[in-house]
Amino acid sequence: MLGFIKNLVGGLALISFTVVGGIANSASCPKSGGILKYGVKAEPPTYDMHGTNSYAVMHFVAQHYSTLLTFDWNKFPKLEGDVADSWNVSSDGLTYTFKIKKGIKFHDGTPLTSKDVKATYDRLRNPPEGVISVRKALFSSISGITTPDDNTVVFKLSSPDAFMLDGFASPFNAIYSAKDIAKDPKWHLKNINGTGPYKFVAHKKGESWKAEKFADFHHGDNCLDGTESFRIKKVAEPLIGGQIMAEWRGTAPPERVLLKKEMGDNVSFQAKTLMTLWVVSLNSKTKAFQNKKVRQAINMCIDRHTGLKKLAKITFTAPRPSGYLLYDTFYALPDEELYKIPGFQKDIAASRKKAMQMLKEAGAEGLEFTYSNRAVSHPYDHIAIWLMSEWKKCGLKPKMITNPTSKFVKIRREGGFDATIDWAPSFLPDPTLMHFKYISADRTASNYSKNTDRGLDKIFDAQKGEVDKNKRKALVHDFEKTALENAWVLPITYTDRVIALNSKVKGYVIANSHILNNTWRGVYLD
Amino acid sequence: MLKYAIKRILLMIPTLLAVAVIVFLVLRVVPGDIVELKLTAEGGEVSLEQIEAEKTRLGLNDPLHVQFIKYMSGLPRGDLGISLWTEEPVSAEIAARIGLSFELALLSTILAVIIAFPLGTLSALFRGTILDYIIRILTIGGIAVPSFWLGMLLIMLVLATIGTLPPLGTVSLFADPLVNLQQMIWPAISVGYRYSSVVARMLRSSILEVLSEDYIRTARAKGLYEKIVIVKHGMRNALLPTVTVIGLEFAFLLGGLVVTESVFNLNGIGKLFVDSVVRNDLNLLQGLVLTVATAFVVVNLLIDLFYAALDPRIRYQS
Repeated sequence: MLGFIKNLVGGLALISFTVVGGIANSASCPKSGGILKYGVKAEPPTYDMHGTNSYAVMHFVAQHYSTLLTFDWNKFPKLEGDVADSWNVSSDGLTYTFKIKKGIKFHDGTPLTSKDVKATYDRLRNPPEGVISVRKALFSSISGITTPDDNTVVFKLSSPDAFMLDGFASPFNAIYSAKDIAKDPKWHLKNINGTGPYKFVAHKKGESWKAEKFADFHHGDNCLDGTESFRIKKVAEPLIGGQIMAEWRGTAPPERVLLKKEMGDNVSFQAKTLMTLWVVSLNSKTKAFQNKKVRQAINMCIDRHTGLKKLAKITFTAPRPSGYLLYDTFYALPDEELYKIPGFQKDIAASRKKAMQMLKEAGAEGLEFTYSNRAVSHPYDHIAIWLMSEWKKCGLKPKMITNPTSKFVKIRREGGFDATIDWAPSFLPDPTLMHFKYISADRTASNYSKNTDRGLDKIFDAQKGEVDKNKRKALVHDFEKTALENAWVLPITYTDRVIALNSKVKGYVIANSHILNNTWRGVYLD
Repeated sequence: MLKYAIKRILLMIPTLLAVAVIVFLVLRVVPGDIVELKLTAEGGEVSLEQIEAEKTRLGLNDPLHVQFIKYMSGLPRGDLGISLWTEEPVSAEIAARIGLSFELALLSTILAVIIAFPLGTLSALFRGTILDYIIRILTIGGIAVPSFWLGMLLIMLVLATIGTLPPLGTVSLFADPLVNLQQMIWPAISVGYRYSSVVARMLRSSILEVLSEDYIRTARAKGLYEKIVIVKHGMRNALLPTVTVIGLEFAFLLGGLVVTESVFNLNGIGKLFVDSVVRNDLNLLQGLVLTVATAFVVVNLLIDLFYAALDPRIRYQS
């Protein structure tokens, strides 16, 4: 864990430094050949990595692309170069200079230059008409990009941004060819031309995706002859029946038991906490919830310390309480501080007694409210049923309304709920990335409570521009405490990611997110 | 006969037009938003402006009458619009999957007919005997057991006995008949069992009804062989309602195997139906409903023509 924290600190430090490397994983193929067959439970809505948050896009498409930086998966979140050979951040944190590796080729045979990197990031931060860039806001501090030569790209920032360097390693920020973008900015919605380890062959809609080895891949660690991925509904049967060798999103506890029983030594599991936080958002338009005591009381009725352990046995949630940031990471609130905050105390009897008293004082005894749930079994139904029972123990009267996803997301945005299940996915334990959801609703589209808190916004902005990691940490803790005590968004728990692999699949290292490490570099079949 | 066929074909046009209008209007009141689903269902920071811009690009912000005119004007040209999820033509999305659903429907029908005809006939001819009871138990069981549940049991059975499941991804019958059969046989059995039960019961009832008719008694009184009485006079007349059931079941299978296709990971029309509903892909959904409606209307037409061929009274009346 100490190593993890050290690496995180190292990765985020915005002092002037130069890193050389990026081919650390090169050519590490103990065995070559074979086709990796894996399953994906969803269908990609687009091929454009810049315009989506979909894991299905990552699991099908990411193998075709490279990013500017990437992570060393054995020492996550330590950064390493992907198309970047080295990089330098100026001491004021306003200039980022990247040297691009020579000899990198796109799948169509054209060389990759700094102009492709510039065109990609221009498309990301300033998408042309008809193009969606869902991470546009994260690059708002970039004021300009220049390319002094074919192998150098310079990013100028208008203000220091502690998240920026990690942002260059976001797996969604695939490097596109400037030529393709110039041809048609929407070309990538339906076409693929990257520099990644595997070349696109065919997509049979609703069914399968084929890729073949890219012989000129710049890292050389694409060990397979190709990949074949299939749209599946369940994980266990296709794995047991030999239809697939892997599924990357994760399995629920009952599936793991079945897989182990049926496959024995032919199945292996890898586990990590997934950086997706399950939260309950309380609607700021609901009159009762405008009273802070009511919100806190609702939070205080939930027995996180014992309930989460039980929940983790039946669905893929983590067994311990958490603030907004993933526990045990550098910026997260330590447990001893977290457990002092209302709703996180260990003595649930005292907590509930106080909660009921607060509800009485606020005139909200036996409060009735709706809880909007998504019609998906794991973990939504499990979390919902647990929360319902917890709230009822305080005399509250929650009413669960379950809807299919398309209606659920519409209700969530339009505020047609009192309380709603919600989630905060991230690919890094970075405060800017993970706290963005909880700032005032006029600054973020993903705050479904629709509340306004200028004090919190101020702390958020301060940490975002703070280059000293310890000062930033203090600001982040301040943010966590303030937001948790205000209780507009109640963190429930993180997600346990346990993937099942056929024992023949080797060389894969699980990451803290299912959107990470999906290029299958270093993966081989034994 | 030709006049009758032309009249029936012309009647298809207003029927399909009515279906197209009703489907368009009904789907517009279905709650949900595909753009929101596409961009925010997995979290992330997408502004309302971006969502609106995408809706405008896809034509979802056009007034309803504009969308309606666009949709209806495309129909005569076979243009069903684009899928709002994949942005590919709806007709291409359907064409890519209809072959598999057609094959499954055909295979299930063949299986059903092979099983149902002897069972239905024997059950009728040996009414009230042990054989009749056994067949009735089997057929009632077939109707009662949902196909998808039987499918799940079959998957478990295959895993327990063979140990491996057929490869994923549709393999054409012409490319590799053996693999194709491996992939299709289990879903065909799970669907075919219910299908054969329905047909067998219908055939049994029809034969019993026909065998009590006066003309059968007359045929027997004439001293005809029992075989000729049953096959020529009995079966031919009992076939009329049975053919209707077979035809309608076949049309239903083209789009109605929503769960069975998902259970067996088959990329057919049924699975596409589920996907389009889950994603709120209105264009695809109305294209699918129209396709299935067309299948029903065409099958009905064929049944009517078959009726006319079997029964001269229908030809002469028309």
